[in-house]
Amino acid sequence: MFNKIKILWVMKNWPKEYIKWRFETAYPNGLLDVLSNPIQFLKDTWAFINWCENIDSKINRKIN
Amino acid sequence: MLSMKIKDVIFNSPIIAASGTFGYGNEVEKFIDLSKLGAVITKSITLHPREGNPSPRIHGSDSGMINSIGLANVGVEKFCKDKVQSLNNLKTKYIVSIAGSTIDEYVEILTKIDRSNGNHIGYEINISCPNVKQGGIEFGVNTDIVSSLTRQLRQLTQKLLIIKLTPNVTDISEIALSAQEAGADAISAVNTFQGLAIDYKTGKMLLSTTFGGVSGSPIKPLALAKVHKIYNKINIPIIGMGGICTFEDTIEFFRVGSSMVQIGTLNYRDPSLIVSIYDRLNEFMLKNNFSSISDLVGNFHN
Repeated sequence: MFNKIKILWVMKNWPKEYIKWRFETAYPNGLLDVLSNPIQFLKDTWAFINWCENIDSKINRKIN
Repeated sequence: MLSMKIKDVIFNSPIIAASGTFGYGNEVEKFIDLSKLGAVITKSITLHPREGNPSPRIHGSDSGMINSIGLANVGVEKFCKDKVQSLNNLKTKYIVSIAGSTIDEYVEILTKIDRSNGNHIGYEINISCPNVKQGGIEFGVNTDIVSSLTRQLRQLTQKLLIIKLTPNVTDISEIALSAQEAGADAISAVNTFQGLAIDYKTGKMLLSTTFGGVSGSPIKPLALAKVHKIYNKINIPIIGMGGICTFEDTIEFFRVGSSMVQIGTLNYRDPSLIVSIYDRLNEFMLKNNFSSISDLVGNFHN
């Protein structure tokens, strides 16, 4: 769980323009889709954080 | 030490942010030192605005990703009006990615962008998107079409003309050769591999379009093989891409023949990681007494 919080914590540095673009990339109507489907958004965010953990373990395995 | 020249353009870094993974390029400049990138490639620009495919259109698959975003973008008019000016102020070079449904569309988009006041250094021609119904990959699988498209675009611009290839073909080196002979300045290889994701419990597809493009670390060995094949066939520079996650991965791509590399899916994890790859690559070069990236390019073949 600590890793998941760390991933979210780093994301706080992302500029709002970049976050907006990420929403528009993931959803056809961007932020509007996020606001109208909050449960789906939370599910997607959870899946994204798990995916980040997978990537991190791969990178760390290779570097260390 | 990390600079690289393609045609008459000198890049101060061999690392490029891949199209579709870094916004239009200006969204990240506040928190990333863009001067450590050779260039940023914009999201692919189409003639008309596109919402892209319905959700779900991105699925994380182990340490890779499968997507069917479908070229969501603002369209060429809005791009020229709203994006070009801020891109001109970036602390690195930028390349405009363009995608069309017909050769005429590619011509029209390139002409419009060429007439804007953009100081972009070139174009990456996306003939390899697997996630649109018309155009995209249809162009990239046929040597005659690649040749005809490249030749027509070559007549329109003196800026860098980079052709981005799909790996979903029988012989990618033939496609690369046809682009070279028609006047391309460089080849980007490779775009995503066609794939599918399904929920084993429900039997439901995990992307709305059934098929999507697989990217990220699982495709790296496949991408390296494609770059190797192309390197043996052509003599224009290759910009290698496909699953790069660490600086070691970039070196593997240089050694099989890439002059520069693009980083894509990793940017979805954290767009600042691309800068740390530059730093680590720089350290490696110093520590191992390499004076130039060119010392590494293709030296697997020696």
